[in-house]
Amino acid sequence: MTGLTRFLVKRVLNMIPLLFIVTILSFGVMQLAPGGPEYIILSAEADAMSDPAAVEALREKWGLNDPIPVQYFRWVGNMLQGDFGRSYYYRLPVKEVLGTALPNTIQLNVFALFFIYSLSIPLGVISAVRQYSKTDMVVTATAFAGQAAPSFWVATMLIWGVAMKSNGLIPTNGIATPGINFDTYGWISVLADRARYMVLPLTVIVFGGLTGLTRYMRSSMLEVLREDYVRTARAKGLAEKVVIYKHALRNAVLPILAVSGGLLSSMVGGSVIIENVFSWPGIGRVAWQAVNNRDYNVSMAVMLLGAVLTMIGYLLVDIAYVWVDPRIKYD
Amino acid sequence: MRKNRKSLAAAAVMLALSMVLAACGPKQSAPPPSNGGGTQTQTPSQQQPTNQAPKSKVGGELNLRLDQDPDILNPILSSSAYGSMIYGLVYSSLFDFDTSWAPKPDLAKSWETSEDGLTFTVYLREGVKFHDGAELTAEDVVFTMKAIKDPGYTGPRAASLSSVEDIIAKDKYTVEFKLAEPFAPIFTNINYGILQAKLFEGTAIADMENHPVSWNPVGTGPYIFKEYVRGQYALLERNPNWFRSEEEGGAPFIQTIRMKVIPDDQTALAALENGELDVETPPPAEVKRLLTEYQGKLIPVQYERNGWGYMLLNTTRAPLDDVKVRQALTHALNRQAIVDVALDGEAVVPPGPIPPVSWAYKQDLKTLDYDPAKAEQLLQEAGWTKGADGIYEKNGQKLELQFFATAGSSLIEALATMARQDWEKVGIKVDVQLMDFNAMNETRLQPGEYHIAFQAFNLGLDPDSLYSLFHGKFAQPNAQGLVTSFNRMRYDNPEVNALLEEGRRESDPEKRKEIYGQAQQLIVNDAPVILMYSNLYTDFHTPRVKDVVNFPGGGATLDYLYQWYIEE
Repeated sequence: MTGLTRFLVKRVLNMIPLLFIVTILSFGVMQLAPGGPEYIILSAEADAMSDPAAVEALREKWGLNDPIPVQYFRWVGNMLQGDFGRSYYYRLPVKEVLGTALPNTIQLNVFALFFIYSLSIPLGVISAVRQYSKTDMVVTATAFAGQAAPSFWVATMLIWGVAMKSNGLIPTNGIATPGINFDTYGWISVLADRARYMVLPLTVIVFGGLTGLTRYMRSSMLEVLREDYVRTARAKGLAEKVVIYKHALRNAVLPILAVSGGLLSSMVGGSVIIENVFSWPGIGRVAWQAVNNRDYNVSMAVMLLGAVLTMIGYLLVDIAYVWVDPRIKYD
Repeated sequence: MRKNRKSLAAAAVMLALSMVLAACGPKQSAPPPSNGGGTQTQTPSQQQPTNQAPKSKVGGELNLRLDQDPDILNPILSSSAYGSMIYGLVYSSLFDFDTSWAPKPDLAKSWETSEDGLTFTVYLREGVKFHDGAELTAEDVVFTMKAIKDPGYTGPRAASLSSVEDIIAKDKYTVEFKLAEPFAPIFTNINYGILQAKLFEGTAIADMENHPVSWNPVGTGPYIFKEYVRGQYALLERNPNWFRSEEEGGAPFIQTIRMKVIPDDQTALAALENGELDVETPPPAEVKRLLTEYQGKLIPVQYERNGWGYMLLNTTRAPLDDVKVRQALTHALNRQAIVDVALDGEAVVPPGPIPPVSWAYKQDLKTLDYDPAKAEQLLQEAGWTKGADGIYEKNGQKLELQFFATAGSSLIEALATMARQDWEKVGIKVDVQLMDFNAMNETRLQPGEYHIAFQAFNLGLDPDSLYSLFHGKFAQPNAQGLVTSFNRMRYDNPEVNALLEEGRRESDPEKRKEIYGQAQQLIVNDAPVILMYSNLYTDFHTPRVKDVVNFPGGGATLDYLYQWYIEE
């Protein structure tokens, strides 16, 4: 286990300079965006916009007039103490704004990831094993369709074609029926209610996410099936099932693992459209609104979160490799 | 369907709009009617008391859409239309406005202006109760107004009270506003939800945004705040003890109001068609379909936007510093034809800067209509001659102009393309560049690095809206050479300035109408802007909602919601 500890420490230490760069980028991107939060706030009143003193007063209060490096180090310094600043728009701590949204995004994406993996790996394997068969054609065609169809379009189609035809069974938007909670209703009713709301967004995410992985799985499996040791296994007279699921699959999964690291963060980023279309109160929606409102602190926190998730994702991948690939050791 | 009378000014906004421009600029605030008007005393009501209100009307749940999460739910701090949808029903302000946009009593029972115009006295209704049972008094009004004027104040409303020097509680029900100079538009400028002073006791104004009441509003309005779940919904409940219940015949009637956060327009449209929303303003492109497909199933409420999409002409940059060139640009445009195509007929060409619905509109306004021959004649008068390529030139300089507009809107693209063709026909070459809205403001409009630009503006209910747009004092660049006000045309006509100042000082509506009439004509003649369109908006509501009032410039505004009732 000391190997693992050493490895983890090394990896986390490596993250520090990377994170530092990410903070500079997050901060810089917001600085580059024209317009500032003071204009968004004051534009509520035509008079205020005509009053340069009002603009100055807000900039001064928020410290936006300080030199850029001062602002940057103040932001980073506060963050090191766990303070992500305040949302200019909501006038709340950033933590509170993100805190209500993050669980909703995680909830949706945990299910999405589960379905994506549990569907794409078997589909990819079947596709590869029966290369150029009808099944392969169908899977491939579906995969390309999923890749090609923009998710907002699929989402809108589902709302009009499924939700609106379902007689209220599938809601068009939202995350839960207000008032249905664990206290007054049984957990079964609550879960059933949440599931009704989750069906459509989940379908869109899984459909979109499935394709890439299925294709990866297919090609990686095809490659492995051509390897010598597979031929050897077959030559030994092993059953085809054993050859595929015991010998080939484990090796074919490795490349899938490699691309999975970015999935964690890309799902947060990729939720912007889904969350908007389905009125899912998640982090993507908060981020989108924050950028529009030039809500610097919220935007920067979300960007940082994305970066941290990416790093964690790849760290997990590296750890997971050991279980799948006994050739790899932590040192 | 977002708007609210309490933050009139919040409607006279412009930034957000330009991002959503034509399609869905926040709409005009709309004030409800009530009885009587001007300086008067409320007649004692002859109607039945609340508890005897017709039973059939009370009850039901109304489902509304919030386009985004509201910002803070404090009427003096909030700067979003979504916040005002909520706090606007929870809080009352001093005045309401009738259908010709004249002030009417709300919390104020009556009011008067002193001889010298420097003291504005408001007499409050007696016995008005906050939702927690406390009585509203002059102290609450003074607290609210002083909070806005406090140096620590962090909201956007300070500038509208800049003409108010002091606010004094003369007695329990009388408030005096001391003015630096006579100020006629005061009604809209002090019309904010009145907070309860006691609840904020011991809190510095700078910290008001952290106070729990800023998120759990306690007002005197027709609806009581129940709950807001971030990202999901807000819930309001009927106030059975509303102070205007008697005079409104037992209003409000609808028992609960649920506002769901639905950011996507298409999703909201689906929800409306699915009966999950009771009121919604669909995207303009969907209006025609809904009118035919949902005839009888959805009730349309059509109205004209109190505001316009317009072209700014930089009056300080050659060759647009010549009024004849600006007039020529205006005459060259077939605005009606452009609007018919770009907005599918869902708009009208505004005659002048004040909309016809306003009491201050000048009936016999002479406009610069489509007349290409006149345009060329004006150019020639200004010393331009037509070159071999059909483009006018002067002193070897071709008449080539830069036009900036926001990218990403098919409406703006269509509009810009057609305008460019119209101009080219008379011999003016225009280079259209589409860019990000904020980038355009920062790099082009504020520094004055443009000839023509396209934006949108929403007006308030008082003709004084023209002040911040056309007064020359806002045209002067600051030390960095930037004009950050709305007068980015850098338009400065001393005559117009004088009229706009006079219009603020004069309290007699007839005289104000005359003054603003002259200002409208001068602005049209000087052509610092080309007003392109006022949208025709259509709100739809479900037939179960009855007595929805169509307010001029506001449509199915929530300001009248207390009159609506539900009949299944």
